[in-house]
Formats: sequence, structure tokens, C-alpha cells
Amino acid sequence: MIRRRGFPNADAPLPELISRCVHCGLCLPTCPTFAELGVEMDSPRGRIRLMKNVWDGRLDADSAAFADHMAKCLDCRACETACPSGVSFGKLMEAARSQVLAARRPNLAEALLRRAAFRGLITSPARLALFARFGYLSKRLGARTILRAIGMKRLAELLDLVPEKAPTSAALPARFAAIGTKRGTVALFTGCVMRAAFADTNAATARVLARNGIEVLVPATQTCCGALHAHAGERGGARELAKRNISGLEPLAVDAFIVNAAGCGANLKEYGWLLKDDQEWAERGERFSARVKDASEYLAAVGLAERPGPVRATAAYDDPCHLIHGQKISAQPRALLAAIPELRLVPLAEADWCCGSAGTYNVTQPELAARLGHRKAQHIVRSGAEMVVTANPGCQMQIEAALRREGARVPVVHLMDLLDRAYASR
Amino acid sequence: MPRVERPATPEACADALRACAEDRRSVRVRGGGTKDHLGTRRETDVMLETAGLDGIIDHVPADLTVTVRAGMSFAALRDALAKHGQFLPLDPPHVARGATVGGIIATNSNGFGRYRYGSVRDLLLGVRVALPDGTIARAGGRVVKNVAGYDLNKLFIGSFGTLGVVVEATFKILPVPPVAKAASATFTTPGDAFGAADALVRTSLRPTAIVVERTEDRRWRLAIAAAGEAAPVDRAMAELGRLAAARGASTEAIGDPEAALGPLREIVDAATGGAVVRAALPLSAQTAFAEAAVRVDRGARIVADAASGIAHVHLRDEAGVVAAADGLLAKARVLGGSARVERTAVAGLDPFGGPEPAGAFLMRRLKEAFDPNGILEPARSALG
Amino acid sequence: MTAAPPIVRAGLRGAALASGLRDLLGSEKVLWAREDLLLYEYDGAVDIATPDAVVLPNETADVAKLARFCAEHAVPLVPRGAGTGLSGGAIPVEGGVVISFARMSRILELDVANLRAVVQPGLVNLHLSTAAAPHGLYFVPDPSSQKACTLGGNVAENSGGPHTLAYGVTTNHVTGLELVLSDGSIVRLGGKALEYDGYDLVGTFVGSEGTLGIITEITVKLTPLPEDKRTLMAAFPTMDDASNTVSAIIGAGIVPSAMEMMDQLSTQAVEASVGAGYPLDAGGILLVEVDGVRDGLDDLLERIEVICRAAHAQELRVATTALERDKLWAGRKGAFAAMGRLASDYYVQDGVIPRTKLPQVLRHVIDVGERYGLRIANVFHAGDGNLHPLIMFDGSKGPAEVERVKEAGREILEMCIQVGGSITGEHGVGMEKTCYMPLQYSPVDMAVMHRVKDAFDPLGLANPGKIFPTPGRCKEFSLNAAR
Repeated sequence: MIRRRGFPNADAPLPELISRCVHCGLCLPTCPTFAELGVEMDSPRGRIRLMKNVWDGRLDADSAAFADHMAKCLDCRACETACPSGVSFGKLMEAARSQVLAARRPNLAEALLRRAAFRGLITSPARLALFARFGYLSKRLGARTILRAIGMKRLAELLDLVPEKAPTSAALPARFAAIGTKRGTVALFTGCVMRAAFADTNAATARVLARNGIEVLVPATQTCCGALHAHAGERGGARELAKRNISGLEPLAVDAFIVNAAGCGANLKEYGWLLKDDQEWAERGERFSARVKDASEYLAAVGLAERPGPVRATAAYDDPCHLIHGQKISAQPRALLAAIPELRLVPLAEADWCCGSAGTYNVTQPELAARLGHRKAQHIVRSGAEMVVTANPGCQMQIEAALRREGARVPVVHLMDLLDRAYASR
Repeated sequence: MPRVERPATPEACADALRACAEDRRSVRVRGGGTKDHLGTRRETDVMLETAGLDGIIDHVPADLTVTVRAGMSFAALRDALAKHGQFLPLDPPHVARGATVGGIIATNSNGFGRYRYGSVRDLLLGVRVALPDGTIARAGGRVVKNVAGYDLNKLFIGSFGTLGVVVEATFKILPVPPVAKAASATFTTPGDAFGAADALVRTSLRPTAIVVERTEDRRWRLAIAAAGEAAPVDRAMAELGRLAAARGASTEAIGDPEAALGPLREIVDAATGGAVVRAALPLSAQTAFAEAAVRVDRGARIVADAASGIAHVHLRDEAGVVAAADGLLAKARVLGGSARVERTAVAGLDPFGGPEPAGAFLMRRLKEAFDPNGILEPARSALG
Repeated sequence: MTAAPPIVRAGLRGAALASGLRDLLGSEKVLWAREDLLLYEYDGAVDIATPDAVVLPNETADVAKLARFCAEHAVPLVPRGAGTGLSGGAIPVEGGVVISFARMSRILELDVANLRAVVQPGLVNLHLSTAAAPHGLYFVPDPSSQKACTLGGNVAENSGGPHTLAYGVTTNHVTGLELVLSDGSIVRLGGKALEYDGYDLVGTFVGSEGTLGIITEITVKLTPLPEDKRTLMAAFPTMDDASNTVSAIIGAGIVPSAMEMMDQLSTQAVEASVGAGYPLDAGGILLVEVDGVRDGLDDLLERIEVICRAAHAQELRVATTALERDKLWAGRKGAFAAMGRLASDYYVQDGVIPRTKLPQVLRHVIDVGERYGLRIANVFHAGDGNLHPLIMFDGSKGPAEVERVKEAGREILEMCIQVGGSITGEHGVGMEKTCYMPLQYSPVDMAVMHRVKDAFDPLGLANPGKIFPTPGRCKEFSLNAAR
């Protein structure tokens, strides 16, 4: 068989990024899929080697094996944290996935589903909100059972993720005035999933910031960050959205663009890289990314102006992958939790491990996602925590679902919601 | 009477072995002659004495290593190193009677310091061994770390001379610690004595001896020694006091640690009658083993290196000694350890009694490969 | 008498082997697709070779079945832990089956009362210490790869690590083994006590690099965690100053629990990687750790500081929190892989020398680097005299460049032997240094080792092509250079 050497287009995983890997293996024990599957192909080192093998003409970019192992990656980037050589695994994986898409012609159903998801649903807050509500309703109505019965297991799995509480989508005001001495002005990035299913969290974030002397703008000139597109290899779609956000937000005279969804934050911080080959946009992307801050990162940096009220509870903090690994933020959320009087923070084993949410992983790899969710839920139950705090909507949904399946009554709350509640209790 | 060979060089030693192998003459190897009590005594055709292989070959104090000929007495080596403020941190028995470096290696002879400093297998860096085919092989090296090739040091340590004759050895050595102290506490039950010992083992005090002795008045005395900087040594003594007080015992300081530990170390030499059973046990099995020893012989004297699980039991009731020894050997195995009769004056007692060791078929293949004519040390080891 | 063993090559191969293994063990335990096998051709070192099949056993019985099958069909067996090895130990150089222990990674028993743990070979080194920590215990050997490397690999290679200076390497902490020999027989050796009757086969086996049999279970010692520690980073203008400090500390009768040295090139790579806070302008830095009971620890540290100052230390920094200590160590432990930032490939040597020869040999290393035009970084266990020169190169320049790099490595090892040292202190001979064995051992020495090999593995199927030089691979020089 004649092999086509290399990758189909320019978004390929760059050889200079690949060659940084000295195959030392230090990433292996941090990789959830390696822990579950135990094979080199589903480890970070193995995936990089697969990419290298494509370049070396030993493996086809359109082979089923390549697609499968790239798809099984959570893109949680725990391996990046572990890597002493500084391999940018996230960049490699997103590039590799774009090649899978380019090299493989997906079957019609798959193509339509992707199209519907990436063009229609995720980018449109209104439609997503509708989906979320439909999800909530259909769950109430027992749609899951029906879906399972007619064999649509994946959709049923997806419905499992819909949160217990009814989603609200009350529009946020365009501005939250700073309370007390004004210490800064920020723009709140509301995100699509956040806006659809967790609008309360956006309002809570704005209130917590305002409470700390920060004026919060909620600009209408923003759209989906494109993270799910990028992770799935939809580079083109991701670039389009990036440009729209940059154009819409960069003129604002604010100190920072605040994000409360770790997945969005990590992606917004990489616009520079996403647009690196676009002369017109590369530098604007870099500058934009430099202004993006996670809410906890920003708050911890400026310091709390006012002490929150007490929350009498035992809590565990679970690191969202795209916060701890994608943005190297792990101390700040814990510091904010430590500032809440009477809140007892207990250690959570594998807090830095992916819960299995990982963007669209629930949909593409339901079995592995469920295994990882189960693993996470077990650790939470063993920790003795009465609530789990995290900072990303995907994680929140996945952990809630996993705990539910485990029969554990442990609520999952966003850090900003908890802080908001603490301030309200003063 | 066996013919005595006393080679003056490693090469002469190897030649003598080859000659014996060719003529199928059996050989017993003798250093200071301090361990004749080990194994089954059987007359051999040749007694190969290592006394001619004496002296230090290389000692670089700054590298903390020393290379010696195997016939050198441990006492002489100790004195030579002491001149440089250094010591080989082994404290085996029989040193005063002339135990040699080679004999200590061949019998894996250790003292109470093995918990702190390691045993022969932890301190020996390299050996040269004369083999029955007349060759001399080197294993290990002269540096403190070396993983090139197989670690044959381990194969020769404790092989009782059945594979070859150690002619040269390199050890890791240490500077003599500035302070050494000892103290003891006496308890009424073995459980208390071993319990206090175990508590010490679980600290980072790392005493140089933690010994439980059953005394003539049938009580249980825990003696500890510590060496190093003054502060940690004093802390170890204080810790013993605390542990003893918690068990209703009081402690007494021991002026010269060696004066107290020496007699305990020589329990085998002191045992002229009866039999001495030596057991290597999992740490938590020691109390049960000591209680079993008292059950089989109410007058049993016991000395246990409680930090390492090495117990010596002197069975003094000669009437029931065979049954008592067999019972103890079996008990040690049941508890997950191993045991042998170290010394006995009683005929008919199998020093290794019991099933053959795990992996015996591998050991036989090794013996066959190194000593195909079976001339070396017949009946000396567990393999017969 | 010859030390050269016959080269063993796989009998059954390809599709016939794969289908035989699937029938034997079930397809979920076997990998045979080419794209999968290509991912088992490397480890942490430079050499590669593709296996004929990979088997992922769940239990000892799987391994025994596999070994019997392979004995019948003359198929080599190559055990693999995490594939972090630095001498090519897990590379199937003669083909055959790679046995991955990724699915045998459990702690079977944490025996706190006896200070022992019984574990499966695929257990990650650090996971054992993490599990033992709540009981105030840990597993001493801490190879720099301890977050990833497995106990099976540690036992096979007799691994060391920074903290083995005072507390010994892997062999000093293993008391029992369960093995599957290449004929499929299962042997249990040793146990939880320190000694058992007969030869010390456990000690003989540790460090045999998979050439005597396959490890399926390990009993190790657990050690009480030190009550306290002090970690000092000392920066010196030159490597000579740092080297002299090492000898001075030891000479003063102090045996630190660890004493590690890094040169400027290494600290620069490390700073770019983990930001451990090492000064970039220092010619050499030392990490010194002392531990034990709290009492007297500060005095000890002060004595070390005095020695460092006398040897021209330009900066001394003591870690005051666990976080600071971890950061200092993170730099050291990630140092090898951090070289990925300086070059696409590196070849790491593992020679050992008497401590007093440090300055002389380090100068030789610099000289070799200059003559070959290769950048060489030094990160090593100074207290043990265990050097780790990292020779950086660009593998894409082709095999000739790799050969040149190996030549440079050989010159360094020759110097190590010349001053009375060893070609490897903890990484093992593997397939990488087989040709250097004659530098250290005579044909007689190696023939004796081969007697042991033959006793354990008469079929020659246990990890062939490792440790012993083979005439086909080693050029004339190495076989004649035997001393």
C-alpha cells in the first residue's frame, strides 16, 4: 500500500512542537485515558508518537486508528502540567483533530450532526437555551427512558447531563456598578453554555466583582468563544468566532475580559496561537488574549475588598482541567474559598483529574466519559465533602450527573455562585 | 586430618581450587575458624585457609571506600580504619576470636547495626572470587553505585563458600560518629519489650542497636544504642525513657555501649551446650516467636535484633532440645520467616530441618554451574 | 571461554504469533496491529525496535501461560513498565513479545505492621509512597522519573535516585519476588523477613534487566518518613567549587540524604521549564538535603552552610516551606526532560566515579563536548559520584550523528572506568551499553554472569540482546578492550 506522507493541510501538528517530546513518559500517570485503558496509544506520549508516525509516513492521517486515538483524548492537558519539556499538547491535539476532519470524509449522519451542533446550536445562545430547557423538560417528562428504549443512547446520555435545577436565561443588565470605592472596570464574557444553562452564575460573577469595587460591563458585542470548535478540530469555525470576539471586545476600555468558564478562558487565552498564521489577526489575537482573566485569577490578584459572610459547610474543590492545566490556575480558587469564614475545605483525591466532561467528550466517548465520571464521583463521596466547588459549566454538569448516578446527594456549585451566596449571607 | 592449603595470593588460591576440582577432593574454606559450628560437620579432604590473603589493598579516605584481601581479620581492618576516624559499619560476632572479612561475607554475618547501617549485602561494593575452575572473577566494583551486569556480590554473600572462595572485597565505609550512647529498660512481658522496640523503629531516630534480651531472671530487657550528633542521640535516649515509662518500666543508662552489647552479640559463642536457633522473621512476628521459644524451653535465653527481626534462641534444656529446636524452626516458617540451627552439641539435629528453600532448583543449577564436581563445602548450606 | 552469547531471534512471528496469542489469552490482552506495535518500539532512551506483539496481562497466570507458549515457539519475552528507561531495557531488539504491565499496577498488601508492601510490577513508584504516607511511611528509592516509572522497572534496573545516597538503592529495599521464568514456571523467592535459606536469589535478580525472568510480584521495605528535613540550594561560581564542596561535606563526616549537582546549561533549561528559582549566573549549583529527627538538624545545616561558604558559594538558599522544597526538587527531577527545550534529542550517560575524581572527570566531559562540538549538560548525584552527562543532538541529522554522539559518550565512560568507576550507576546496561561491558569486566567476569543467566533462562528468551555484548553488534574494539 502506498502511504500518503504527512498531513493534509497547514493546520497540521507542527514537527517542531512534536520534537520537543523526549518520550520520557512522565505524562503517562497523569493521563485519565491511559489510566483507564492502559495502552500507549491512549497516552499523551503515544498520541504524539502517532502524529510523528504520520509525518514519517508510517501511518495515514485518514486511518481509523489515528482518528480513534485522537478522539479518545480528553484534551484535558494534564500532560502539559506534567511535561518538563514544555510540550504544548493542547495545540498539538487540536491541530491533529483538524487533520482528522480534513482527511476523513465523515458519513452523512455524522456530518449533519456536527453541522447542527457546531453551526446551529452552540453558537446561538437562543437555540442553546431552548435546547437546555427542552432538556430539562424532557427529563422531567421521562424522555430519557423513551430515548433509551428506541436506542438513542447517546442522546439519552446527553440528557443525563442536564442540571437538576431549571435553567434560567434572564438577560443580564449591560452594566453592574461598582459597590464602594471603585477599583477597576472589566467586561464579562458570558459564554454560550454559561448563558444558556447557567445564567445565574454570570449574574453571580458580576455581583461578586461589583461587591469588590469592580465595575462590570456585559457587552452585547460578543459571541461563542469557539472552544468546542477548536477542541473538535473545527479550526475554521473557531477562527471565525475568534475574529468576531476580538472585533467586538477589543475597543472596550476595560482592565480585563473576565471569564467564569474555564474552557472558554483557556481558549480565549489562545487566540494568538489560533490566528498565528493570519498576518492581519495574529498580533491582535495575542493582545486580546493577554487581557483575558479567569474570574478567580482576577479576584485573587486584586484581592477581596470585602470579606464574604460565613458558609457553614464542608467543601471539596475540583480543578477544571482548562483552569489548572490550560491556564495554570489552581491556587487562586482555593485562596478565595479559604477566605470564606466557616467553610471547611477537604482534600479531594485526583482533584486535578478530568471528570470526563471535556467539551463534547460526553457525546463522542460516552462510555469512557461515564467511567471517568464514576471515578470522580467516588473520590468526592470518599472525601466526605457536603458540596463540590468547581469553575466550569461542563464539569458542573458532568459531576452532577455522575454523583446522581452514584446516588450521592452532593450539590455541585460554581465558585462564583458560592462566593455570591457567601456575600449575600453577610 | 584434612590437608591444609594456605595460598598466599588469589591466583594460588584459584590454582589450589582447580587442583582439588580435578582430583575431586572436597574442600572446606577457613578464615579465622570462628564459624565451624555452622552447618553439618563433615571432614573434607582439604582445608583451604585464607590467612595468607591479608591486608588492605586500597583505602581512599575521602571516597569512603576500602578494598581488602579476604583473609584479613575484621579486628585488624577496624583498627586500621579507626586511625582515619572511619569504620566499616558492620558489627558481626566472633570478631575478638579472629573473624575474617571473607568469612563474614561468606556467612552473611551481621550484628545489631544492620537496621541503621545495612548488612553485608548493603555495604559490600565488590568482590573477587576464586572459582573451582581455576579462574578469578570480579563482581561489582569499587564505587558506591554500580548496576553494570548482574549483582553477583549478592550471590556470594551467605553462600557459605559453596560457589567459590572470596579473595578480595570492597566496602562502603563511614566516618566514626562523634557521640555514642546506650540505655536499657526492662519489661515483664515480651509484648511490651518488642512493642517499645517497634515504636522506636517507626521513628526517624535510627538507633544503631535495638535489642530485646530475655534475661536470666526471665524478664525482657530492651537495650538500645544510638550514634551520631549529640542532639539526635540524646533524643533517642529520651524516647526510650518515654516508651518505657508508658509501659511501667524505668530506664538505666549504659556507660559503655559496647560492654553491654558485646555479650548479647556473642550469644552463639556463649552457648556451649544445648542448641542455638537463629530465625529471621517479619517484624511483627517477633513477640509470637519469643513466646513460642519460652513455651518449648522455659529457660530459653533469647537475644533478638528487634529492629531487623533476627532472633537467636539458646535452648538450654538438653533433654528436649531436638523437639524444641524442630518446633521453633517450624514456628519461624509458619510466621513467614526462616530459621536454622546455628550451633548445637546435640547429635541428630538437622541444622536446616524442614522443606527445601523456595527456588531450590535454581540454586542447584547455580551450584552445578559454579562447582560441577561438588568439591566446595559439602553439607554446609541449606542445599546439603 | 567466551562471554559472547548466541543471538536469539524470534521463532514464531507475524500473523501466526498474533493469532496464537489471541487464542491463548483473548484478544483484549493482545495488541498486534502495526500502528499499535509502533508505539511500543521506544522507551525514554534513543534506541528503537518494533515488537511482534504486545501482551497486557491481568495476572501472574497470564504471564506464565504466555511464557510457556513463547518457550514452545522460541519467542523472546521483553517486559515493559512505563517505558521510562534510559538504556533501552524495554526495547525488543530481537523482536518477540513486549509484556506491558500497565494493567498489573495494584498494591496487593500494605503491611504496615511489618513495614512491607506487596505490589504488582506495574505500580507507579510514587503511588506506593503516596499510599504509605498516611501510615507515616514511604518507599525510599526515588528515581527522577518516580511519578511515572514502575516498581517492576525499578527492580529490573536496580534504580537509584537522589535520596539513595544515605538510604540505598532499590536492591536495598526489596525482600521478596514472584517471578515467571522463561519456561513458564512460577517461582516465589524471599518474603517479608530479611533472610531466607539458600542463596540470595532476590538480591541476584534485582538489576538483571529482565534477562533472568519476568517479575510478577514484589515485596518491598517501607521506611518511616523523616520527622523533618532541611533543603539547601547552594550556588557556586564554578563546577570545581561545587565538586570540592561535595568532598568537603562528606569529609566532615556528614552524610546528607541527598546531594545533587547541576551545571549552568542544566539550570537554564530547568528554569525555562519549572522555574525552580535556581540562579542563572552560577557555574554550578548543589542541592543538599539532610533529614531525620528535628533535633540537631539546624546545626547540621549550619555546618554545611559554613562548608559551602568556605568553598566560595555565591548564594545559599534554604527552603523554608514544603512548597519551596518541592520546587527546588521539581527542578532537579524534571531536569532530563527539560533538555527537550534545548535540543530535540539527548543521550544521557550514567557513569560512576569515585567522588574525589569529580573535578578531573567533569573537565574531561567539557573537553569531549568541545572536541565533538556537542553541547553537554551535567545533572547528577554528586554524593554518589554518579554522573549524568546529557549529550544534546538533533536526531533528524541521521544515524551518523547518533553514532558520533555515542562515540562522545563512550569517551566519557572510558574515563569513568580509567579512574576506577562504572559504566552505569542506575540506568542499566540495556541494549545501549552492551558494547561497553568489556570496558568494565573481563571475559571471565562476564562468563560467570552468563552462568547465572543460563541457570535462570537456559532457553535464552528472557530479554535477549541486553547486558551482554554480542559480536554482531559490538565492533572489534569493545571485545578486545577487555581488561
